[in-house]
Amino acid sequence: MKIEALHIYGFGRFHDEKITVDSSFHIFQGKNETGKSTIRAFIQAVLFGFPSKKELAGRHEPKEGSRHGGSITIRLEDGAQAVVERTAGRKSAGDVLVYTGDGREHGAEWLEGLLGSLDRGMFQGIFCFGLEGLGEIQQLKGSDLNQYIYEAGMTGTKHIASIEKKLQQRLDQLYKPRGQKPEMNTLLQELHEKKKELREWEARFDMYDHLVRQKNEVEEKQAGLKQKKADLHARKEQLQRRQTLLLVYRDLQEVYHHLETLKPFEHVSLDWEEQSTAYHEQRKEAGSQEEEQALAEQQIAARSEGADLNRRIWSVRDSVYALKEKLPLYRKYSDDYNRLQQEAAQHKKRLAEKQHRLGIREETALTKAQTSMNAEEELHDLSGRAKGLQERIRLLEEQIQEHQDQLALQKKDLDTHDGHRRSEEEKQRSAEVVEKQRKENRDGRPVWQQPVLLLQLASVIFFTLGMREMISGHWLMGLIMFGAGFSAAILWILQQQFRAVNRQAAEADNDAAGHTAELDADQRLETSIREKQWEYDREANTYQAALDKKQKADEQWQELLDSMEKWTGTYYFPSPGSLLQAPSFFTAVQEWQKEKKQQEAVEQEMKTLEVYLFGIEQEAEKAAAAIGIPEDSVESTIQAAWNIVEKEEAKEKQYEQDLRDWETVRSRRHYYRKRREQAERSIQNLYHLCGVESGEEFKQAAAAKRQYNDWKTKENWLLDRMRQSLAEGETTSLWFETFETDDSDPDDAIQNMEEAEKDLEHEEDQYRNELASINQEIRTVEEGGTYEQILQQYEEKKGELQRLSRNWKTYRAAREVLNKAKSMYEKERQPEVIQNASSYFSYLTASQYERLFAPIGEETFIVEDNRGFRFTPEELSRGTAEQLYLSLRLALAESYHHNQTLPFILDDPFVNFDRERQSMVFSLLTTLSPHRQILYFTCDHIPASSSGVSSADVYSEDITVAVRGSFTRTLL
Amino acid sequence: MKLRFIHTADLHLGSAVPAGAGADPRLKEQLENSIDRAVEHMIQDAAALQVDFLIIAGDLFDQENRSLKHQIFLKQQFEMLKQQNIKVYLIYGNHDPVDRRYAPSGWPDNVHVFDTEPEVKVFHKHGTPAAHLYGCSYKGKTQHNVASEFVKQPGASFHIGLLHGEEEKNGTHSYAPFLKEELEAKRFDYWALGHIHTRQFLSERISYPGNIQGRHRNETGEKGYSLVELDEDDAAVTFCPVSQVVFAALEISIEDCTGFDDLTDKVLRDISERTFTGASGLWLDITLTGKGMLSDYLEEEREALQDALNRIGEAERPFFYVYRMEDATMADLQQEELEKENHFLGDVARAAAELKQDPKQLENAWSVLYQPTGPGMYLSSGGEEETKEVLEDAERLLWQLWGKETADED
Repeated sequence: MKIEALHIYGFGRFHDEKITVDSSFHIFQGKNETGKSTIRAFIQAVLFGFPSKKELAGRHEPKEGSRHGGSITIRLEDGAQAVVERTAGRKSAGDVLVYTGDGREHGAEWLEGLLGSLDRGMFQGIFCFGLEGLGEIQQLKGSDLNQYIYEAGMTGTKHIASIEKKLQQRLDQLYKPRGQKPEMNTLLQELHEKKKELREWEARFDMYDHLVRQKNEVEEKQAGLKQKKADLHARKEQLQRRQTLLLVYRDLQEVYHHLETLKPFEHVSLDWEEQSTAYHEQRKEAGSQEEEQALAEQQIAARSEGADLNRRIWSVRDSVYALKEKLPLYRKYSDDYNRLQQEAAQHKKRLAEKQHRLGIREETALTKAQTSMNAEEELHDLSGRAKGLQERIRLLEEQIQEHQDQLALQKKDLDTHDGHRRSEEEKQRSAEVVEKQRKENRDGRPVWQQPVLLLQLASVIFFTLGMREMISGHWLMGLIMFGAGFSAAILWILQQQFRAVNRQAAEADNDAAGHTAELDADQRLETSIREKQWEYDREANTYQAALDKKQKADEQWQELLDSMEKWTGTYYFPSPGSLLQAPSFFTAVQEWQKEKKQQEAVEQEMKTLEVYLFGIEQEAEKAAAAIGIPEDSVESTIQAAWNIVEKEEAKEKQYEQDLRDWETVRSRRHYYRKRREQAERSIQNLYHLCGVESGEEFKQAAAAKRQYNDWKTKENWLLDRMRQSLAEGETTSLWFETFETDDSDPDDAIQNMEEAEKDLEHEEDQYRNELASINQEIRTVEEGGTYEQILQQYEEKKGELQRLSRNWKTYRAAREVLNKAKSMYEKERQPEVIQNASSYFSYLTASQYERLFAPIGEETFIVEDNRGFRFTPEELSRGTAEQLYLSLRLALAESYHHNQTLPFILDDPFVNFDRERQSMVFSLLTTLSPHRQILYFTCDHIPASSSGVSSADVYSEDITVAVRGSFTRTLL
Repeated sequence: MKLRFIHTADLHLGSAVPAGAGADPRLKEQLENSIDRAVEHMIQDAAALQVDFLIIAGDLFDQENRSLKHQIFLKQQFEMLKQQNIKVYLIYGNHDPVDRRYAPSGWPDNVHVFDTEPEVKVFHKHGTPAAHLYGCSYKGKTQHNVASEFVKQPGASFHIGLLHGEEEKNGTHSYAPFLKEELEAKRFDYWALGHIHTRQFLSERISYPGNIQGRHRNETGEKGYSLVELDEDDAAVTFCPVSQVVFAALEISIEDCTGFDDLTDKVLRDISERTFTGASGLWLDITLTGKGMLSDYLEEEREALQDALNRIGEAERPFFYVYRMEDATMADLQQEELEKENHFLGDVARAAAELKQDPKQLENAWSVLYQPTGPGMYLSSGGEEETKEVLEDAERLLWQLWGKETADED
């Protein structure tokens, strides 16, 4: 494969740059920073893709607008041409399009098919050769140099050596068989520790059964001890009881002794003492009361001496009481009487007034008149009818008057119309003129007369009808007629105006029009007169009808007057004068009669009151006489009599009271004396019962009895105490018997027992402690939290170790793979590389070194010079080593078998070569170039070919000529 | 007559759960106590459901770690069942054989432990024998066919076998091996199996309930017990989850992920699609797969990613915690056809493939780990599977390193 042209669309500094590569040995010449390495990167990018976006610098994305990428025109081994284009696309590597000579278009797979699995890294290692590669040789020493040169024949790089180094580093970091520090070694140590701890714990678990057994034993012992303690306690309690009971027993003995001495007072009752006190109290109180009553008796007797009473009063006392009661009544009666007197006077005055108003002298005539309901109803009926009739007559009279006026008016109207009539001749002349005019204007204006006439007629008719209806009392109909007439009149006026307008327009017409109008007016006047005549006749008829109705009403009025006459007769009524005033007359008579009745009632009442008042006055006189007081007005007499009676009664009451008091006091004195005597008898009786003579002796006996009771209580209390302390099956008497025979104290025995008890408690404490520590141990083992924790840590560390060793194994395996690959390479492919390299090396050193070989597995080369001496690369001069390196790199490229012979790219690697060596190298490259394209990037000068002409003018501008035209050049 | 009971097995009380190492102490503690919580949950259920009895088909305790704490814990739980008048039938398994003495102070009297010789126990319901239970506890390693010695005995409505073991496979020395056909031939109403930690049915009436709580990455998904309801002609076995903490494995491809944000979103999406009844937390084992540009950065960024996810996970309900994140991706540069390439990298690919064929070579290479007093004594062997995985890791590592070297050169 040869590159024939480059077309850079946009790549680094280049925009739309076209470079033609004319031969298979092409030189790109330019100073530094002219874009040599950019072109190199461009070729690699198009063939193998843009570097990933992480390596931004290597992508050479153009800073300006051009499209990133470009195309390379290549010629394949089979002579076909293809253009490979790569531009920035979706993938970071860019999009590939290939246009082949047959005009077809292909994708990335075409390029993959061409290059196979060769990638950029590999390509660079095999086909790119720069100054750095040789530079390394200046730096490296010893085995590193050997290694480097060795790898130059293997991958063309130093990557494998670097990878191997890294692998070894990681392996060493992880684990060393006898190391301490590497991660796995540390972890291993920790695991050993954890394992030991776990073993210890497991041993503790084995102890567990033993601990449980021990625990049971101690618990059994504890139980035995508890029993023993209980027994001891029971015995101690028995003794303590005996001690208590013995004390009680002794007390009891003393109590019995006291009771014996106080025996004689056993029968004395303590109630007697209380009774005696009560009797003494009674005697004392009764004595003092007796004296008090005697004193009171004397006082009352003294007060009542010489009391005096007025006996005369008693006879009239009741009557005075009654009068006192009647006094308010008397006052009321006299007030009423005065009031009635006034009333009677008023009644009399009113009656006189009414009678005068009625205008009747005879009172009897009024009293006789009947004012029953019947009479009233009849009268009302009569007067009602009279009222209606009278109204009707009045209306009829008015109508008659109206009709008369109307008639006069119409008559006058009729006469006026008659006066307006024109003579017959005039009418005749007008008719002729009109006839003549009509003939001239056959198509005259529309005739207005007809509707105007109709409207006039209607208006008049309706007005007249309305008037008539109003007069005859039909208001509604009248109004409607008036309305209709009015509307007709309005319409007529409107027409009139309209016509007037027309008339103005027609003013210019000849006077024929005037004649026509006059004829029309004549006609209208005639009609109007006829109308008026008809109306006058009708009005006259109506007037006559009204007169007839009036006649009839007057007759009815006469009938009513007769009925009235009859009514007065029936009810003995004085004549009321007018028929219309009859009801009010009737009412006035009624009122008079009522007044009269009231007057009579008042007079009756006054008579009754007079009788009452007189009775009381009589009684008062009588009482005053009896008592002997001077006569006065009834009221003051009664008051005086009452005062005297009241005073006498109070006196009498006082006397009676004293008498009753005196009797009470006397009976009390008697009662208290009896009580006193009874108390004295009872006291004597008590003394007797007690068998004593005096009060003093009685008190002593009671005291003795109290003492006796106290001792008895104590006895009971002690016996109770004893009974409470008894155990089951024991009796007090049994203990009494025991104590009678032996009453020694058990103190010593109790003390012994207490000591024994303390010993037991001490022993118990020991067991308890022992048990606690055993339980503690058991609990620790049972809960085993620490064990679980260690186990967990142990497992975690194991997991970690597993993980690390997996890593270690991976690194180790990687190294193993590399070793194996190397040995495969040595066996299968290295021989070819060596063979080629050997011949290049010999060429470059002008056959100074003839043979190159690699001992299997030693990863180094040996060179042999023409004298048969052997050297390792480090033993060579640096210059020779560089030649060896170059030979190997060229050989590697040569022996890389591919369906295409890929170009070899050199980037000014020989700057530091001396002239002779440069010539040799170029000569070799020239030899190779026919079958493998060589792209050479250089700064400024082109070395002369070894086979070239003289070296002196190699540097001249026409260097192309100097190397026999074997290469082409692009100046950058 | 009807029978309702709980069938559980493989409680493995006292197991250490190292997955929590490095996690928030709160989460770690919850994880470490999760077995106890699950057992408590089951006991509460037993009381609430008023089951007739509880069957534990072996492995109550883990290994020979004689944690008395857990023996006493279980005893307390059984005492709670006693108050509810619920019986417990249990056999010991390979992890808690009878020759190691468990339950130091004896179980309460509602607990019936089967002897090391096959025996029959009778369950009475309403005063009449309702079920015959057949079982046998382990004494040391029991590697003979125990089930074949069970003989069905007349006199009860139901016959239930308790068996801690696994199906016989050719050539392996398994625990209490049995043949499914043989169990079926016994014509029992139910076989309560234990030993296999994954819930599975050998038939409608022969099943493993799985262990009660996941403890590591190989015990994923919801865990719990089986509620078994038997009547004359029907058997209903219902799974009831009781584990608070659920282990789950996620496989996330990094393909199409252009950054770690993308990847994080992808992981969160995957998590949100999973639901586990009653679980308050997920412990996640994430395996990253696929080929993509992120692969090169994973070696360095993996821990940061894990931390970032865990910070998010803390606040989620249920929370999640990524306790393990494995990188099984392919580097962007790594090419499948590379073995044919006549470059050194082709040699590498060929070398790796060859080593996979012959893992012994590698095992020799790391024999240094298994020297006496070396870490080997604490390591569990992953067998050939591990070797293969290690090789894949190694290859990936080489690619990552190669990628980095090339990038450095640019």
